[in-house]
Amino acid sequence: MGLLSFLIFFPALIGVLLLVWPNERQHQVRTIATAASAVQFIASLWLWFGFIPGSGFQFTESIDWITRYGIGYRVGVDGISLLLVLLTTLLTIIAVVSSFSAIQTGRKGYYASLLFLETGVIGAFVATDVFLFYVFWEAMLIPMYFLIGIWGGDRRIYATVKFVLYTMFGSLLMLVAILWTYQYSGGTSGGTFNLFDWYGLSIPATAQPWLFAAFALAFAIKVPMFPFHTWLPDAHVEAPAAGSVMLAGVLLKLGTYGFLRFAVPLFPLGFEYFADTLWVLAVVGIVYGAVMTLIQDDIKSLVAYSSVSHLGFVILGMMALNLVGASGSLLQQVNHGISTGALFLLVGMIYERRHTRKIADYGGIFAVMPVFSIAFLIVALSSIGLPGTNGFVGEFLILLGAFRTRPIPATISALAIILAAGYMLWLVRRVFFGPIVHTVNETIRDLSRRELVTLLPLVILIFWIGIYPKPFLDRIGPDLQLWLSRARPQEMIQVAPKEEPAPAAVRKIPQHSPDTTLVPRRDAVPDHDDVATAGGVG
Amino acid sequence: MNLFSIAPEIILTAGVLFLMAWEIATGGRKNLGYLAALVIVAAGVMVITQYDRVEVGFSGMVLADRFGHFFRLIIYLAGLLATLTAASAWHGEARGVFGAEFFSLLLVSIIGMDLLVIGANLIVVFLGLEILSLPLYAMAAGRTQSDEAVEAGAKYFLTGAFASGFLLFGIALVYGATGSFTFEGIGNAVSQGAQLDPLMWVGGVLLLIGFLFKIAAVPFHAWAPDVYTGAPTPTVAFFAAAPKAAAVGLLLRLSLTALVDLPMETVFWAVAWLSMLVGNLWALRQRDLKRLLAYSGIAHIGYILVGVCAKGSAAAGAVGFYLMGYAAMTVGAFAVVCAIESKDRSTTLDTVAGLGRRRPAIAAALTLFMFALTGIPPTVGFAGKFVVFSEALKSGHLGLVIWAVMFSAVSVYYYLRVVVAMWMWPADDSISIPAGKRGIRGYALVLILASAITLILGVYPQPFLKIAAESLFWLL
Repeated sequence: MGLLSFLIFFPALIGVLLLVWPNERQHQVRTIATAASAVQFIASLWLWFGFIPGSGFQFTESIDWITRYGIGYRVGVDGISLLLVLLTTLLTIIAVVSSFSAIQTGRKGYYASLLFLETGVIGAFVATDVFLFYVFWEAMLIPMYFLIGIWGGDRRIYATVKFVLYTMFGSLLMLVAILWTYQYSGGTSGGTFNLFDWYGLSIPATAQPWLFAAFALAFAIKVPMFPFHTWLPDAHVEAPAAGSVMLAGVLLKLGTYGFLRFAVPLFPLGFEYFADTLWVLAVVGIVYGAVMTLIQDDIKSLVAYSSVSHLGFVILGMMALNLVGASGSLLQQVNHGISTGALFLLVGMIYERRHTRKIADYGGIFAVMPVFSIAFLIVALSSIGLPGTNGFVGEFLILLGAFRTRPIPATISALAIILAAGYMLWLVRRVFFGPIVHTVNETIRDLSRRELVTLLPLVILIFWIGIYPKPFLDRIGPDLQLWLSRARPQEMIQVAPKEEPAPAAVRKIPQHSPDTTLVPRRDAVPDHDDVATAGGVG
Repeated sequence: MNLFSIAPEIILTAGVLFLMAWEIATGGRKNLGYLAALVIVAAGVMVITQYDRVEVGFSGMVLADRFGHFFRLIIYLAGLLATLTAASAWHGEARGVFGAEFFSLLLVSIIGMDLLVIGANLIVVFLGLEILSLPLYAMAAGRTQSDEAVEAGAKYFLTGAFASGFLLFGIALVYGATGSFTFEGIGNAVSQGAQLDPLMWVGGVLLLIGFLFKIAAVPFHAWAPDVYTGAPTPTVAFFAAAPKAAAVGLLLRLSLTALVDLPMETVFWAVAWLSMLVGNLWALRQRDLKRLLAYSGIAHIGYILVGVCAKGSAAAGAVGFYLMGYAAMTVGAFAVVCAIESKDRSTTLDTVAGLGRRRPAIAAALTLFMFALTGIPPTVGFAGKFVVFSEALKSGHLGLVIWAVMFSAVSVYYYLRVVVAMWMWPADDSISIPAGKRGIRGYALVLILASAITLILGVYPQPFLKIAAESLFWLL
């Protein structure tokens, strides 16, 4: 059994163990879960040190599974998934430790759900078989569904059902597209679900927009992109703090990861077809998310709406289709996991003390909780993208990349950062500064040592990525380069054999120069230029 | 006369006689259910030993080929799980209902189902349908002190009689058009020009309608919810799965042999389309678990017919695989209902509220079956839908597959509502869960068996898919 299989199945195994753990020894459940997620995190560090940038998929395993349908248990990790896997293992251990005092009932099921969730998420990140990916993608709904539905807030049932219905609806249409592509991959003989074989398919241009749309809908709901975001604030507000951390930190990343791994490189012409729509939705999401945060009176839903805005940036960087933008997009996924994860963690901590998330119930608590306030401030600034923090590196690269391709959306998005600064700093002012209006707040205790320990790794990462992102960018660069070569449709048309004339639908696809499909786009800048820029930022 | 062709049925018949004698001889009813289960297992072992042989018997009226063997095994699986459910129910409220007569009727009904899938002649098929149905009517009315059960039995009988009438009329017309009762003869006549004969068309459609009644496909489904609600739950567990497997098996054989040159996909297409629509939409408003499962069964028949539509041996294999999984998850769900129901009130969402805290093991089982019925991996519900939809797509039914997944998304709501009630609603302590600790333990066997099948077929379907595909390839 390889390292990746261990990372996938170890948490599930421990999860099953927890479920059958005797009730009389419930107090040991936390310890087991912590130990398991720590082992998991340490094991995942091997990925970081053993990873050789630029040699494609590594730690690969391939076992025949359902040979009748060309399905294999195929896993592997490349630059695109590496950081996301590490983020998952890190956030899981933080989520486990942060729940010690918040979760008092049904601990067995709770920690088992967290570990099952980890299995599902890591499995989806490392699967290189589309069927396997879909299995994990769907299966991870179940633990999240229970996390929100059992340990959530007052409207938890509404929130969790909405979450599952939204996600299922999108993913079932994706299933049809997956089946279609599978049939296409087979021709007359049996097909395959091997992702690498799928990359080599030349799918007819008439079908690509449909297939892309089916995949993109599933991923756009998960991201979530405007206008499919309405499940997110409900789910976040009702979820327990650790559930929110996992949801924002890693589950949403599966949407953006899905675009990077599947939707865009598999159907580049479909991507091209919907490019304008996606640009608009990304920008609308950025601005809309930022504006909505301004009117929230609940800290958690404020952070949730800020997620919509941040993930708009991630999509924007991907849309740029150059190395700078894509690097920024991928790095920003990690950044968002760290910053927003930390924000939800902090909100959970203060909620545990005061049992309210209303902004108006706080004010002036800097005086009583200085450590908490400083931590919150650091994370908030990283979320805004202050230079020196991780958010700056990500957003800067994204905007740089997007500017080269489409200046106008990039400009609008850059202006939206001002809004981000506005809502975050306004939140900080209302919660931490000014006089203490509510006398209850005078006696809140500051962070405990355990809480500090859960925050520390995230704060370190905020500064590490902010000051020296090179190790991260080095690891993701080469694979993004490969990704770009798949994602730029006109290059594929050029290498396509001549005897297959460009079908009529290709001409229908909006191009920057409508008279021909073969003219390279003006944003297709030489890639050595990109590398230089990306390295230069570091 | 080749008795090997009906060897499993002979075992079952012997079992029927033995059970009745056993009850008289011992006067004790305690182990009857488990004895009946053993009889079914013995018949299954008989099928497995002759799996690779084709037995033709009774001048070609019976054709026990791999297709027949495979479907017999599915029927036995459903029958076995239902028998174990009934055997467990013996401890609970239903005490006294499930004596030798119940299990004997069940075994007789299984013999009828066998005839459906090994019959190569419309007369045998008709006989099979009658042998299958008559015990079911009696079993539906089995709880004689309950008016509802009698009503259910009567309803089932009336609609069943209608279905038989349709079938008989269809057989007569088909015979008129082709001059043959055998599948082979009909197939030959159709390919030699009888497909243009309106008699053949009308006869073919009537033939199908007879069986669409049995599997409760829309628009022939109206009996199902009422009968499911009124009949004793172990009976429902039995006829929710086993007759459907038999009838779908027969439909596959008919559409791939006798009617292969008649474009009957249109009928299946329309019925599948409607079943998914009606089953799923009506299920949304059900609070009674048995009614919910009735509509869910209608919806699942829709998904199965999507595979029948695809018409081909690979698609038939997918349908066979789906039926295996469907038997496990449906009978499993009914077994849970059986474990928690009480005589004087219907089993609704309120009954299962808070079940997760009161009876975690049994709630976990029902949760698994609900996820499986929804089609969430890694359960057999997902694997089954996956293979069926995949084959349907291969034969060009893109629209139908999209329709099917849309309604699968709808079904998430009502299946998950049961899960929500179990784990997220507060328990209503005024509702007692009748079966005591000991009673519920009786269900352990059937629930573990059904859960294991649901999971194993979901996680590692390869060998089962292989068997299904190879068996049904035999047909062509």
